[in-house]
Amino acid sequence: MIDQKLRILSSEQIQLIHETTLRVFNEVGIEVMHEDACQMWMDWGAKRDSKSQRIHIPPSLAEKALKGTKSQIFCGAREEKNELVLGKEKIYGRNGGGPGQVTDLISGELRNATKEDAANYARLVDALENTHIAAPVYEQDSKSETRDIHTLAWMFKNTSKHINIRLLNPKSLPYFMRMAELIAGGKNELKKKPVITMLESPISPLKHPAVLIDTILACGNHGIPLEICSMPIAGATGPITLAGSLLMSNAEMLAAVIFGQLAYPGMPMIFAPRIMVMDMGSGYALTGSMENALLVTAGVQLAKEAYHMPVNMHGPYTDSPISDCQAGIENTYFSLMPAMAGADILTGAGHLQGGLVVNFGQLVIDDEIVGMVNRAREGLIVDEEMLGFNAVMDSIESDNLLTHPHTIRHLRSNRFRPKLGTRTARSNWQAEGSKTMQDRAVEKAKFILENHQPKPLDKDIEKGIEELLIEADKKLAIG
Amino acid sequence: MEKTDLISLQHSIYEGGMEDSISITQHALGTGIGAKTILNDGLIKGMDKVGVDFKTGELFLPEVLLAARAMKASVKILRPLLVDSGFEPIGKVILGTVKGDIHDIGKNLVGMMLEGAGFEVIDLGSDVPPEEFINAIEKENCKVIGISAMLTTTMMGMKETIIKIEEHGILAKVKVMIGGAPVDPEFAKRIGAFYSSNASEAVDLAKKLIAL
Repeated sequence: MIDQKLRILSSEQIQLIHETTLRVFNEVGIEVMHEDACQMWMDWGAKRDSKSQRIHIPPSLAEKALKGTKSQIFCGAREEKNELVLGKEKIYGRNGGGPGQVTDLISGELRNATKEDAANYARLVDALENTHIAAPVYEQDSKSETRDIHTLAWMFKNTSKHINIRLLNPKSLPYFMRMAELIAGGKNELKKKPVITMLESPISPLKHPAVLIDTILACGNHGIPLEICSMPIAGATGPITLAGSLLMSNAEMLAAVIFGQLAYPGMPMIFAPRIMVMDMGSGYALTGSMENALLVTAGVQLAKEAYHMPVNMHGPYTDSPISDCQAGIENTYFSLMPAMAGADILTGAGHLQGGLVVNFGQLVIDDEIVGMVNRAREGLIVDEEMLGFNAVMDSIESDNLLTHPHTIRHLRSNRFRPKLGTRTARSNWQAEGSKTMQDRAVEKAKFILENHQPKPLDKDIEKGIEELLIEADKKLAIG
Repeated sequence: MEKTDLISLQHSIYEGGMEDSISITQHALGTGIGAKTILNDGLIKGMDKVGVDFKTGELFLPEVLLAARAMKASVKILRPLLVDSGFEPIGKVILGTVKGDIHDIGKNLVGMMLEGAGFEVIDLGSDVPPEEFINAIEKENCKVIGISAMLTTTMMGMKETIIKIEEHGILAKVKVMIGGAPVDPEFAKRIGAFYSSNASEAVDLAKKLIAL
């Protein structure tokens, strides 16, 4: 493991951000759009401004609650081999979740995501080596009220990896919990083995919508890890300066963490500031610029050094609408920087255009980027064996070290071998059809979809899920 | 004198100096220049240059907003006089974010720009159900509505809104403009709406739709 993490902020700068965040809690306050939650805040000692109704959090209350956060979080999965622990040096890849549009794998056209796409996206993740957590593309075939519940069902059926998902309809929340319980085998089992992580967001600037509060309470109650993702737009819903938007993001996100820790002490929560940067010429909210990359890197430092929490950062992330050179450049620096700073999860594989579009070929490429980044973080070991003094000595006589025992011992352990990148002579590359990396990625995606079958659900569980979907459609879907 | 005031008014709009544009507008009125002349040859000319320079990337979005704000303040002074002389606003536009989406910054930008360009804006706010759009269309007798969505997950609500308006039998009366991060011209076409990619384009589009 690398000895020194990438640090772009000094300890003094981190302290200043933290202290100013406490000032925001105390002097600016949070708009809590949930009456019960306001009452809870006041019971804990927060003040509600009689005029603005904003909740002002005293520094002592914030500091106390933040001491209770967990630095390591266990994430369960349908198969034991896919379980993972966040906060233990290893970095995990998670594909980008959220869009309702995909690039068609055959025609390359942009279109609405179908049920098959939701299933296939999960199945691809299930097969890919460096993508450890699955997030959804929301299929547009079902009714909008229950689209999220159907999507979760498609995911459980098509991957046995840990799942990260957010609500589209706040009313779907109890159905999410029930489906997760079905998979885990009951309420207590779910607590021991949370098979999903949920994600919810404050709304910038400094608002906590009801769905955020309800999700925190449900996750706390069910032992489900919750990722608090805040996305101010620097220059629009957050200050234009990078430090200012980091402050805004930190305040609205941490206030949600504090609420969770006070309601359910020790509940597993994941730090996820994902700040966007407005391009002032076009008004477009960027996600893949170098400024974004600096912000995620600084965010990792805040999570680790100030709050000792697991952190999920964007990366790979790109603003390019297609799988091209720009996507390659942005995705690489956007993975490497937060990874070298110590991120636990990198989120975004398979996304294009700032997370608006899912592209299966890009997912395969990004999986490889995350693999490389993982290798980078391992660094190099320097000890007697690795220094190979004897190999140096023996090279005098043997002239080369290709068959030296030291070489044979470390032949496989020492190198990341890309599956998509070209490492061959031009003539061989031409003989193989002169294919680009994108060509090979699409081929690999097609191959996986034709051949890979995830571990099927037990018949009883599958039946339970079907019944749950029928119930949800009946009770929630209007038209 | 008339010319000097109108040119400095164009300047103050371009620079986004609200206090300047107010005082020059008042001064111009004091010297006997007509409200309509001030509007057309001062304010709108200044705003037109803003639009052109924004498109070429010379001006940034916040500068355009300051210009729109200055324009709005001057129009407010002129409005009673314009009404007295039988002058009508260019048109009325109903705005709202789609049901389920409370991200309203983009919609607010469009609103400011439309007002700056002389439109009357009926802002229904955020998370607007189809029924509210329908009520507003009927009440305001409005020809153009604008719907915005920020999330890929709520954009399909735009289609549902348009279907509801159609079911209500009044789609023929209105043109629907849409905008927001996840939508594009193709999507707009599919759901029977008109697309613009930013607040300045939205003004041009609204002008076109009003004229139809």
